Amino acid sequence: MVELQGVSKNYDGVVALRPTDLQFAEGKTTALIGPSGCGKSTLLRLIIGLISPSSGQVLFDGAQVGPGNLLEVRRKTGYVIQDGGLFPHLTARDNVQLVAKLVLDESHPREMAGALGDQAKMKNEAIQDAVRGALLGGQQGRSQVSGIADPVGAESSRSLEKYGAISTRVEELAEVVRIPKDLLSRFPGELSGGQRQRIGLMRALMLKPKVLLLDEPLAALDPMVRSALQTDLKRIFQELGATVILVTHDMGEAAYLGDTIVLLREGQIVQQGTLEDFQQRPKEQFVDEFLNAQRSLVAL
Amino acid sequence: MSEFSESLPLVRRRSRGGRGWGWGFRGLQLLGALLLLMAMATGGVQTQQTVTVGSKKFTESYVLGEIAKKLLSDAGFSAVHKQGMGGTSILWEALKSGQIDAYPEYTGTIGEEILKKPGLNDLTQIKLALAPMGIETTGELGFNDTYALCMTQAKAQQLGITKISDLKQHPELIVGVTPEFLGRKDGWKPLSEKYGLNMQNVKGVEHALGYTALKAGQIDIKDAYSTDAKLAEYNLVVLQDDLNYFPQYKAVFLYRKVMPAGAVIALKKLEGTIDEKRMTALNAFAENSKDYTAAANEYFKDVQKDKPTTPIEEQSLASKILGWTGRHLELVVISLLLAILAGIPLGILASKPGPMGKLILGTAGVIQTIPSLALLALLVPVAGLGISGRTAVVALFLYSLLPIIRNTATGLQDIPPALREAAAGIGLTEQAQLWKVYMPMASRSILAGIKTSAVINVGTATLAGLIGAGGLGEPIISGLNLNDNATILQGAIPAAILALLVQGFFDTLDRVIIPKGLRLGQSRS
Repeated sequence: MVELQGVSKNYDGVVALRPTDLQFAEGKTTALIGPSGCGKSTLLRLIIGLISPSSGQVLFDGAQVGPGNLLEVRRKTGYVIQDGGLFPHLTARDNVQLVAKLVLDESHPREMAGALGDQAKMKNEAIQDAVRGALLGGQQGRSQVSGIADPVGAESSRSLEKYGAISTRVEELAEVVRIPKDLLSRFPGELSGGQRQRIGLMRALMLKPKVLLLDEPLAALDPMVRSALQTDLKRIFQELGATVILVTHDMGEAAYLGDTIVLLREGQIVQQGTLEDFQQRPKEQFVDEFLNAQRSLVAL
Repeated sequence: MSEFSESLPLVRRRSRGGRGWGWGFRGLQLLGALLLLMAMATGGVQTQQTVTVGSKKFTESYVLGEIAKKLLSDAGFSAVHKQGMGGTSILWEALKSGQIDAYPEYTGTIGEEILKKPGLNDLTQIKLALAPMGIETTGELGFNDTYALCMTQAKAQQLGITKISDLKQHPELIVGVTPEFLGRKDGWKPLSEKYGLNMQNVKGVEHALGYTALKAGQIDIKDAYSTDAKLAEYNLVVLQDDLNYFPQYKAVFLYRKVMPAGAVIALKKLEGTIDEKRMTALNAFAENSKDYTAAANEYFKDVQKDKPTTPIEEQSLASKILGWTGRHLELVVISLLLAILAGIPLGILASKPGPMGKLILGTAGVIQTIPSLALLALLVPVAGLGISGRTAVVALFLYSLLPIIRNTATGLQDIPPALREAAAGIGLTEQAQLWKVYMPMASRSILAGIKTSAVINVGTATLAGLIGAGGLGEPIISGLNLNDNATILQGAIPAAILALLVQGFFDTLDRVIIPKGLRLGQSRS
């Protein structure tokens, strides 16, 4: 699903990521871990094209990520950042449904005409089909989504039903991330850190992404809230069945959520495997050092 | 408003040098020079039967303008008086280009400054020289407003001085003349040479202050205009110009050849009806009453005693202030709307890294540093602008740009990088990132920029009064000219109130249109 082929990244001569080959197992969760500045966030940004590689290529669903398919890649991807990355001027609900609404509005022919070139138009239509599939094709989704009247591609029914589908999806997601529905009308400034992160997760899941990227999603939360969210995340990842890439600096979190752990240091991969691999067969002394630095209460 | 307090001392000089280039108001001098350089006819459009009279920026010209307006109204024209438009150059260009149809002028000024033929003072020759330019002149109005030297009655009698050549015997007398008179071609230096004077103590003193100094005995001799109201008020002696040094400055009305015949006839009624004594009295009346219209009425009372005339209708103060305020708002609103339309897109461009942003902000910044008076002076010669509301709107527009551009740019730049990445990363198109996320997030800053511009505009728009564009600057300029605080306040108080109201309006707007989520204090993203 997602693959890095010889990808490197320099910022004005400073190496952020050395040439790296990495394949993310489809439907599995990969945790990227390492000290600050090791290149883990850079790697994540490269995947959705927020930055472009200095060399090599990123493949998404077999296609090279580039200017031509950025929108498509991003809309097939859920992206969660620290503290949720919510837009302060929008309510929780509007944050969650922002992109979905936009995609459906774009499908309105009047706005399509002229606004996009032919090629872009076709590409966009492909995305919209995908989105419609995600939003409306309840059969292959979770059971709550089924029963939506508007079949995919039927242009006769307009926004009411489509927005109806959006709001159904929002409510369904509220249950998934365990957020009370009355909080959806609040602004980010009126929510707690944990609540904001749950809303951020809803936003990422809205279009039923094939890939979910999380950039230190829980770093800013207090331990109780973090623990509760970790539990929920694990359940959601399992239900979603998507390819999940999680950036964290907490080995416990990486081990708990990740099927595979990738340890990075100074822009390159040190070791890749399970926690057990790391403990039993450390490739370098650094692996031991990194594990030991993660002080555990049990050991104290 | 600050421009006014700064320029107050300049305006107070209120020299009558408006007959030549060198009248007191430096900024408008520049305006005039630029205007002449361009010599561009801006093709004013005259609506039918409207006759526009202009006047220079000193009492006598105002009064003559009011009198002409009344005569034209009585003759059935819709008469407009553009008061105190500036100096010779501005009036002359306005006349040639048809922005005004007539204005009072002096033969000496026509010869020396307009036709550039010093010594040409004969009205017949002046008429011949003006004819090819499409300009004609009435006959003499009856008075000669020339330069003169004056001193107190007491001192003159004590020393037995009656004429300028008598001064040769008294080189110890202190001479205090206007700085302008010190520098004029027909001023102090050539006068000293012609009369062979060797005065030991000559200094430059501002005109109105000079009279006070003369009365207090701090100076002994001063320059004056022969129709100055102060001559009578202080009972001063005018020294005889026994060598005929000073040119003649006989008052006439210049008018456009194409002006309707009826209007010409009306203006010519003035010929020979105002002698020096009457003009001096009218000037004194205007300066004491602070009311040019009333002074003009005095003329009609005097001149047409036999013919009953309706007094010139005067608007009530409230309706005048309302009119000025309406015009003021018009200038502010139009210029502000234009600035919003241009400023926000420029601000969006400027928010992006790279040389373009620096160029835009730099240019807007440079415009902002141009003193408002100088900006007006630069704009007046531009084709299609001239002495008009358009010029004021363009100047205000340019002034409004920087706060709007800068606040738009910084509002956008202040959006946390993480949220920018989030906006892109969740799959918003660039357009949607801008309009659904960045602009709403920057809206508060943008609105604050617009508010700053609006408040500055309300103050700066008072300068529109200088170029005949109306607004609350009109009473302020006129009050400065009359040295009359009450008139100044008629413009200054409404302008201040307007600025407060504008501020309040935008504070309300902030509560109404800024997304609620942005007002929750610190956004915790």
